Amino acid sequence: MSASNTNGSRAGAALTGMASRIDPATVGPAAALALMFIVYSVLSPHFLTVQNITNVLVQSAPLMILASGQTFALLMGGLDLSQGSIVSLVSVVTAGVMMHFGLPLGAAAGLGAGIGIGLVNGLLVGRARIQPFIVTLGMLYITAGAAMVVSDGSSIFGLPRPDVDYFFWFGGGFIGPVPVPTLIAVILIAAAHLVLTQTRIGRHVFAIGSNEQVAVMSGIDVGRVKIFIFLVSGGFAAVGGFMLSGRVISGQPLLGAGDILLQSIGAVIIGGTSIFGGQGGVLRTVIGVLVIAFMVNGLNLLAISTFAQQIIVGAIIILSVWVNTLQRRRT
Amino acid sequence: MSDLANPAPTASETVLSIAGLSKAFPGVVALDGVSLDLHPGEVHALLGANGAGKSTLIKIVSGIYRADSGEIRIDGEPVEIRDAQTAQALGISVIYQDLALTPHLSVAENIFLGREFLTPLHMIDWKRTHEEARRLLDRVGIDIPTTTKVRDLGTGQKQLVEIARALGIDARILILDEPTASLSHAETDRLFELVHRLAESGVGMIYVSHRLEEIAPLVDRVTVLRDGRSVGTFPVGELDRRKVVSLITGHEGASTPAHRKRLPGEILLELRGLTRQGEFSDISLDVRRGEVLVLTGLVGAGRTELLETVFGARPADGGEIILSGTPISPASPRDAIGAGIALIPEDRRGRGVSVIMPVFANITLAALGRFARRFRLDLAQEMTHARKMIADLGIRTSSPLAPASSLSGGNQQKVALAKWLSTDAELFLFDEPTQGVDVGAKEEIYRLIDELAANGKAVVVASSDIEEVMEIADRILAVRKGRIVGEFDNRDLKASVVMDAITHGDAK
Repeated sequence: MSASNTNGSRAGAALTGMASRIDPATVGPAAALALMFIVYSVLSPHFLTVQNITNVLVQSAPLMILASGQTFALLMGGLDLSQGSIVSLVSVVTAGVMMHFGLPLGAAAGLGAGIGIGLVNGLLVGRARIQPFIVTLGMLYITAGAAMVVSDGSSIFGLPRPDVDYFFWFGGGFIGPVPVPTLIAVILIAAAHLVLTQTRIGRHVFAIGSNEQVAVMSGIDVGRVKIFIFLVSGGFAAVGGFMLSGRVISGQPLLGAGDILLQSIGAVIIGGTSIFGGQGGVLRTVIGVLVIAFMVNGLNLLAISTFAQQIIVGAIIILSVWVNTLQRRRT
Repeated sequence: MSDLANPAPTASETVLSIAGLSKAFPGVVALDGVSLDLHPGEVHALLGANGAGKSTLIKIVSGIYRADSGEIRIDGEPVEIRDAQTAQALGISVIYQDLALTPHLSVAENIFLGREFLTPLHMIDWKRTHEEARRLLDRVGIDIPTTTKVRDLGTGQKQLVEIARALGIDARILILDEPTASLSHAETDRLFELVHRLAESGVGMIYVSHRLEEIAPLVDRVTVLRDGRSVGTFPVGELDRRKVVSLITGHEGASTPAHRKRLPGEILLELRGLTRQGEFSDISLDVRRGEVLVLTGLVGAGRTELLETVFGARPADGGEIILSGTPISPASPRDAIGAGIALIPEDRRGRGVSVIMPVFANITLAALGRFARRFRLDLAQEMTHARKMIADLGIRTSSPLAPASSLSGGNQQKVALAKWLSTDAELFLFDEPTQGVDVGAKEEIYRLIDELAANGKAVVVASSDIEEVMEIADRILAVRKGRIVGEFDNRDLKASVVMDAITHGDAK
């Protein structure tokens, strides 16, 4: 019994490319994270404190969720450029509807809008068979524009009580010592991981990313799987956007216009998921997000300017892909 | 050319000398103390089953892999081949099966890619490029213009252009990896003539092949690898077909199994006037359960297209596909699989096996429904099934979790087979099932096809290998230019009759 369980869990691990514990693609980012912890702990007395670690985990929760969804898109050999715009759209739709009809309907409308964008992406990629890059680039503009149109280009403040307090709870509340955003992120990450490693559709995602022709010839409904992938990517972005809006207790048409899209893609890549698809997984992405989040946090504590931080994050993205390439070449 | 004419070779006459070369990959020892030497002007055949270590040896000599231990000497000097550039600088050049040319550039540009002639202003010196390319093309004996784009060339011509490129870097050691695998007879003859001329001009060649009979007249000596070790080096005159098979497989020369008597059952598949514009037309045939029907014909006769149409990968323009008496019109492979059809495609790495996925996931890919529980896959059962298939088919892999890319070609083909044996298919379509597969794996694939028929499945095989056709078929349909030009019962049939039909036959 226990032997067959081990069998199964090793099978799941082999798919994500973590078959052996010493797999360099996983060890690299994890080692970088550990090294960063050591260096920052020595350099700053404020780094290794419960307060600081909790802060970073809360703040990085929306990115965790976006990047987990983004992992699906990269695993199939695509990417989702519309995630940032979905964050913005969800923010203004949620706040706008909430203003008149309360939080439950606001949440439903906002999340529904985000998932709807994901569905459109999925249909265009999966049924119309347009490249994910082109589809999501177009949707990046369309969705960002829609967010501006819906909100008339301005922020939506003054949300009604008591709904606004619940709204904040999703973005910054606590259950005992556990921050709500982190809890939601953990649940979604676990679900995403299980779907990828333990279900049929998850296996199909890997199959398409590994070799789409083989997937077609094996009888996989490739179009349907792609729709699913962009539903996940868009849906996760919607949850992230909802959380971020809760934290700022308002609707912001530019909420996702900043770094978050590129960080989402960057975190997946830093985590070691192949940009060519077929290899990687959500747990790797978690490490990728932690690398970015703690890197930035440590640099803040050391009072290094945000401008310099950008240079460092960019360098890490290139470095991690380079290290991966070197390792692949060696085998 | 023969060894009798030359005195025993001395170290100074050895252009390439390999001693004690070893290389291990995780879980597999690919090469284990292999030694080999090559004289100037010698054609040295390297034989072995898939997975015997031929590719690994080539990749070490050409700088793609690095050996764990052992020594390589060029002209008696120890060398360290760190990468492909080093190999090139040492005069080593490899002509691979999967051709390494850039399709959208011209022949001349390809020949001098990376070593362009420049004018004093660092522009490309086109006049010199085309002159030199012309000279090299003349040496290999093709009269195509140097401005031709590579994408417009046939496979044989591409191979010759690759050899021209190798000559352009003054290669003195040329490694040919299964160069005739996809060549026509005329192209093969031309290639052999070139190999002969290059040998006379002093180029040493290692010629990797599965088919010794074909190359025997060209070759001086033969080295056979088995399980990563050298079984020995022999003058070609000492070997006959039986000896070679027993050296390669390690078994005493297995006699070719006699054609088995099968008792076909009810008709499973009927095609009535199936047509696809420009590919095949008016194809009508029946296949019974327990029967092996072979479609034979030259490359481009339309067999692949026909099989893919039955499998739903291409839409038919006209005609009917009838399965168990019911007309079907599969719009996708998914539909066809649902109806109980399996296709093992010719393009193994492109369409058959997903090389970056683990072996087990390839085996179960078309049959995941079997392992689906309520919300999730039963991974433990999946692994158990994969292990069973690996054992049943004798797939050589370090683990079911290893990526399929770590397997040799023949073993990848067995993985592709295992995938379809895992489904409930009743009709099996094989497209050139043994192309690029060694003798041992070939026998096993024939055995599996026989088993399928014995178990009441219907089998259709497209094959252009006439020996294979005669070996496995119950009935043979000759296809020429997209039409059936002859039907033969494989009892007291002569190969020449079939060959005549596929090369000259008219539509009936």
